[in-house]
Amino acid sequence: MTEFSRRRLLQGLGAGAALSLPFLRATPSMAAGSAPPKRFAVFFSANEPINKGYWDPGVKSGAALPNKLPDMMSPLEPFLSKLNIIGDLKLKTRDVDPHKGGHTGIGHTLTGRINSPFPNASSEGQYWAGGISLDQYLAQKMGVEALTLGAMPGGGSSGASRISSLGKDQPVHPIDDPKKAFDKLFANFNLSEADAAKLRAQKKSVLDVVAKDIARLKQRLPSTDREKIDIHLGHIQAIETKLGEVSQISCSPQNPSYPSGYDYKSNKWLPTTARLQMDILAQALACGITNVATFQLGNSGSSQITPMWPEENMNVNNSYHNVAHDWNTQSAGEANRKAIEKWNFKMFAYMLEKLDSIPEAGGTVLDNTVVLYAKPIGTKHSPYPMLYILAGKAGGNLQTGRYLSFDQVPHNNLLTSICNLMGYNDAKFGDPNICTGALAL
Amino acid sequence: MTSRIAPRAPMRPRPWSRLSLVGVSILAAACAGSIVEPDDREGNGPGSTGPGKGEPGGGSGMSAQALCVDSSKIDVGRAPLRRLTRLEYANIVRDLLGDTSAVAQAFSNDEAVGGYDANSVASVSQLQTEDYLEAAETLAASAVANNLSKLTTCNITESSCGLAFIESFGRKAFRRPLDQEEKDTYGQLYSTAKGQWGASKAFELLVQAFLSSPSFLYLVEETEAPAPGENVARVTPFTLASRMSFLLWASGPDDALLDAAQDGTLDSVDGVKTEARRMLDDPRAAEAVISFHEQWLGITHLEEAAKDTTLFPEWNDKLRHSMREETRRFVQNVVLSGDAKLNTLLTSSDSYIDAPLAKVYGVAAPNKAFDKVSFDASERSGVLTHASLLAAHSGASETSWVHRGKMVREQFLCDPVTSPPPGVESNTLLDPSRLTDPSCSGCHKKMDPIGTGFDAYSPIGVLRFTDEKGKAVSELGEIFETDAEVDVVGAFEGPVELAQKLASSEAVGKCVAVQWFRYANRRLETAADACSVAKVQEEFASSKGDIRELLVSITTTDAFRYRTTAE
Repeated sequence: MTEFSRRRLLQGLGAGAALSLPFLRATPSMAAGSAPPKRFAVFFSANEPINKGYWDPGVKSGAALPNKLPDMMSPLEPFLSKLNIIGDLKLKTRDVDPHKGGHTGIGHTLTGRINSPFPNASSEGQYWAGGISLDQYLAQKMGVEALTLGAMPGGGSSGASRISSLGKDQPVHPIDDPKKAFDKLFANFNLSEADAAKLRAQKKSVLDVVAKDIARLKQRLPSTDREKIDIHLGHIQAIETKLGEVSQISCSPQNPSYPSGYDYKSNKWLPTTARLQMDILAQALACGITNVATFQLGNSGSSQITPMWPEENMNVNNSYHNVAHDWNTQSAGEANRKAIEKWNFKMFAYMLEKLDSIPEAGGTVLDNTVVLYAKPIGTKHSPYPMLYILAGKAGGNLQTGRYLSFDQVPHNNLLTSICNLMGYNDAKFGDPNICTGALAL
Repeated sequence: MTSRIAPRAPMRPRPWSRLSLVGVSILAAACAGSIVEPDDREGNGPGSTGPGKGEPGGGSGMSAQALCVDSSKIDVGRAPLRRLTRLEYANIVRDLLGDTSAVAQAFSNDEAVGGYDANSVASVSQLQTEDYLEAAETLAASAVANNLSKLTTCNITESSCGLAFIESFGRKAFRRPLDQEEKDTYGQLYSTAKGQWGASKAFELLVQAFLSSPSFLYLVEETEAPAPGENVARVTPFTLASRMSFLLWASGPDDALLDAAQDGTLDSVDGVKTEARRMLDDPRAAEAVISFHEQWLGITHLEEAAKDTTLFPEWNDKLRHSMREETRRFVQNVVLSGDAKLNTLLTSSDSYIDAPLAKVYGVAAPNKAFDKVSFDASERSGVLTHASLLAAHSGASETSWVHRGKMVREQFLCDPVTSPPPGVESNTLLDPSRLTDPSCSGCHKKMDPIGTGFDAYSPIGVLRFTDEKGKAVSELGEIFETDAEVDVVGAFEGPVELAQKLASSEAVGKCVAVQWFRYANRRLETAADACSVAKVQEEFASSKGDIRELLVSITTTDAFRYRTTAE
C-alpha cells in the first residue's frame, strides 16, 4: 500500500493542467488501526422494475431468499447472503405532490419530500428536488463530502436527472466523467513543501477577493436572489477549509485505463463508463476519502440511453425509456425490457462485487457498508409497489439474506432506517407528515 | 433533379381515421387527463414548459396580446438572478482573453427555463463552484503566459499599469465600471501579489479573481430608483447593455457598447436600435442566433441521439456533426446574411451540405464541404426537413409521431402538451391506438396526426417510399383544432406542405415572437409582460416576419428595458 498524504494531494493545486480541488475531508476514523467506518452507497437506475411478477422472490416476508431469484435478478445470486430485497413500499410522498405525473419520483427517492417546481412551470418535468437527500444528509452528519457519480445522467436542466440534493432547488450534479472524478479524488503530484505553501497562499488571496465581492454583491440584490449568493459563498468557504486541511489516507488507487476512442458522453461507451465510475466509487470508500457515495446510471427515464452494446450482448435498438413504455405491446418488448433490467442488476452486482473484493477488518468493505438499490417509480409509473434492495451488513448491524415486504408503508421509513443503521437515531426522514418511523428490519 | 416520390401518393385513409370522431370532439377542449408521455427527455426539451398556470395563454400561449389592456402602463415579469450559460462563458472568455479552449464544456449542463438555457432556478453546486475556480486558474495562467499583449500594453511592473488594467479589464468582466471599493480590493490583491510573487503572477491572480467573482459569473441587474409607489424601474444603461449583448452575441458587451451605456446613447430607443443593428452586423451575432434556433427546434437533442446502425449504417458521429453544421450554416445564412425572413427559414430549398449529407439527401456531393446546394423544392423545405431536425426528433430505429408532432405543436404553435399521469399503460412510438382511446387522445391528437405527416422521412432524415417495417408510407398529416388559437387547422401532405402552411400563418409568427421573447429574457412570459409581447408580435408582423427586426424590436420593449425592484 502506498501512503498518500492529503497534503500531497493539496500540493497539486495550481500545478499546471491538473488543478483539481480535492475532496472536502478524509474520514478521521481511517487512521491506521481504527475500526472501519459505517458507509452508505446508492445505486440508482431508471424507470420501473417492470412489475412485481418479475421481481417477486416468491417467499414470505421475513423468509430467507431462495437460491434462485427471478431470472431478471439472477446477476444478484452470488450476493444473496449479503442483501435484503425490500418489496411493496410506497412512494407515498407522490400522493401529496401537485404534479401527479409518473416522472417525478426521482426527486422523492432520496429526499422523502415532494419536488419544488420551477416558477410558472406547467410541465411536470420542470422541478428540482424539494429538500436534502439522504446521502447529503448523512455526509453532513459524518463530516465528509458525499461523492456523487453518474454515467450519462443527462439533462442538468431539471430534477428528472438528479438524485442528490443539498436542499430545495439545490441539486447536486453528479460527476459524469470518470477522469474528472478520479482526478478530484486521487490526483497525485510532486511539489516541494515551499511550492505547495505558495500555491495555497495564491489560491487563498483569490478566494478572499471573491468572498468580499459576494458580500458586496449581496447588498445590491433583491432578497429573493440573496439566498443563491449565500449558497455560493458557502461553497467558497468550504473550499477555503479544504485548502487548510491535512490528513492521512492509506490506499493504492488504480489509475483507470480508457479504451481507445473512449467518450464518457457517448451511449456507445456507457457500460465502460458505468464500470469505471463504480471502480472509482469503491476505491473512494475503501481509501476512506468519503463514507457516502451515490452512483446514478442514467436518470429518471434514461431516454438518452439506447442499449445497443454488442459486447454486453445487448442489442435493443430503442431508447430505454421507450422500451420501458412499450414492453407489453410489442413482440420483442418483453424480452428487451427484461434484458435491460437484467443488465441493470448486472451493473449493481458489479458494484457489490467491487466492494466485496476489498478486504478490511472483520470482512469486506461491503460488509461495513449499506448499499441501496433504488428506482424512481413502481409498476406503470405508479408509486406502488416499489422495489428496493439493501445490500451490505452495516458493520454487522443488518441481518441479510431475507425478503422483506412492507405493504403500502411509506418509503420514507426505509430512509429513516438507513439513518439508524448509520448510527443516527432520527425518528423520521423527509416529510414528517408522511414518514411514520423506521422499518423493523 | 427529379423528385424521387414523383407522383404524390393518392389520399389514403389516415391512420387515425378509425377513431371515434365523437370522442375526439368531446376531448378537443382539454388535454388534461391524457396519458402517454409525449416527451420523456428529461426537462431540457424545447418547450418543456408552457406559459405558467393562470398566466396569459396558459394552455395556449398565444393570447398574451389580448391581455394588453393599457400599453402606456409599464409592467414586467420578475427576472431572477441567473448565472452565465456555458455558451456565454465560452464566448466571454473568447472576447476577454482570446481563449477558445472550450474550458466551459466541462461544466455541468445548463438549466433550461421555458425551453432555453437560463441557470436561474437552482443555486450553484459545489462542483460547479470548484469548476469555475479551476477554469479561472487555467484561463488566467494561459492568458498571461501566451496572450499578455491582448490584456495590456503597458509595463506590467509599474503600479499605474496594474491599476489601469483593473479598471479596464474589470469594466469588461463585470460589464460595468468598478466602484471604488472594488478598485481598492483588486488593487490590494495586485500590490500584495506583486510584492510576494512578481508582476506577472499578480496579473494572473487578478484575471483569476475577476473570472471567479459572482459579478462575472452572474448576470447582476441593476435599476434606476423607482418612482414612489412603483415596483418597476428602468434598468441602468450598463444592465441594458448586458441584456443586449447576451441576447445578440451570447457574450458580454464590447467597449463600444459599454461606451454607449456610459455616454447616454442607450437612454433613447433610437440609440438602442442603432446599437442593436450594429451588433447584428457583427460576426459575434452568429453564435447567439444559432443557439436560439438549436434550442427552439430541439436540434440540441441530436447530440444524444442514438441510431440503430444495422438499419442506418451511414450513421456515425461525423454525420451527426455534419447535420448540426448544416443547420447552423443555414440559420446563419438566412438570418444574418440573407433576407432574415421566417418564411425563408421555413421554405427555402437551399442548404449547405458535405459529402456524407449529400448521401442522406440523395443529391450529388458538393465540390467543397458545406457549399451551398439547392434541393428539389418538392422534397425539402427549410429547417423542418433538415436531417438534423428529423433525426433529433426520432427514435433509434423508428420515427416518432409524438416527438415530431410535439415539436411542431409546441415550438411553432405555442400550444403546450402536458405529461401523462401515473398508472397509465404505455404504447409504442407509432401506435394509432393512442388516438382511439379517449383517455389518451386528448393530448395525442395534438401531436401524432402532425407527426404522421413526416413519415416519408426516416429516423435520420432520408426520404423513403417504405417505412422501417417495410410498409408504404403515407405523408398525410393533420393539425387538429384545440383550444389554442391556431389558424393552420386542417390536413396537409408532408412536411413541405406543412412548412408552407406554417410560413403563412399569423399564429406561427406570433408564436415565434413568443419563443424569441423567452430566449431574450430567459424566462416565461407572465401577465405583466402582455404589452411587451404584443408589441413584439405586432412589429414582427408588420416587418413581414423579419427576424433581425424582431430582435431589434425586443430590445425596445418594456420587458427588456425595465425590471421589478421591490421584493
